[in-house]
Amino acid sequence: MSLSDKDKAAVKALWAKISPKADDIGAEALGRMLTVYPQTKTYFAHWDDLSPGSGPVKKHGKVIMGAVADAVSKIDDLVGGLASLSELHASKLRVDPANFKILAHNVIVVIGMLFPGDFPPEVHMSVDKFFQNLALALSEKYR
Amino acid sequence: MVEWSDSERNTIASVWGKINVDEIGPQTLARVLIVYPWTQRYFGSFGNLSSASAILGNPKVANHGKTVLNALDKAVKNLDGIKGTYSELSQLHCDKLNVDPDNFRLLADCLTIVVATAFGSAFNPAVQATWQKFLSVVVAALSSRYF
Repeated sequence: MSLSDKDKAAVKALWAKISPKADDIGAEALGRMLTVYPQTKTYFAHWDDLSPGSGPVKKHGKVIMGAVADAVSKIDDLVGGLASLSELHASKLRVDPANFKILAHNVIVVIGMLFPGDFPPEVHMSVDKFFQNLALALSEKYR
Repeated sequence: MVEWSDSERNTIASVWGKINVDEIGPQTLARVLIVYPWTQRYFGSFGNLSSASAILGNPKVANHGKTVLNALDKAVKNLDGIKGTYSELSQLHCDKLNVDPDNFRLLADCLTIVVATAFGSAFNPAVQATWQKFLSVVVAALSSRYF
């Protein structure tokens, strides 16, 4: 389900609106993921506090959204653009790729909550496709 | 057997109590049909589904959205017997409607997003966790008679 020009335009337009709150979105989404899908906590056993709003969650939410911002700027070549991030996830972090879908769902929930007027179904579809392609690019080096 | 804490029971009743079925139902089904267009395969008799605006304005979609969401009421009122509650509905979806059960998960996810959009920050992580637990039990029940 590759990204059409319309999808890319929709993602970029939405990103322009939401990027000032990127850090908050990242922290919220990560906190929700850890709460709603407790199995994801297995990847963060080395943190002292996994609750929503905690220091480690806020910090890492920022890191993740920084990478999403980067992905938006590289939307025309996600596989190429995310190659080193894919390498990191494949060989060092070894996150099961099924979890990318879970995180994406939570980012979408938070976008809907914080920007209700900017997230009609067609935009939702393009964003859903974007995250799916992002996840695919992130999985590229796994095997 | 699914176990519900008192807090979870209260949360589910509270969220359900605030959901306007006549609004949220149509919005959710329309969103599913737009975001996951292959789901349109089940609605050949619904008329014009050719664009997002057609889907959003389609009265059959709206009516069916209300039907689907109203059916959740049975589960809310019977948290300790959801599987039994949906036994017949599960058979119907499998044998007669031939719906791929993966679609139940898509609908549940879209419903969560629509509810989050309507509730804003009141839909905090703990509420989301309980709500999604509830929906995953519903989805499992609807899938339970598929063989």
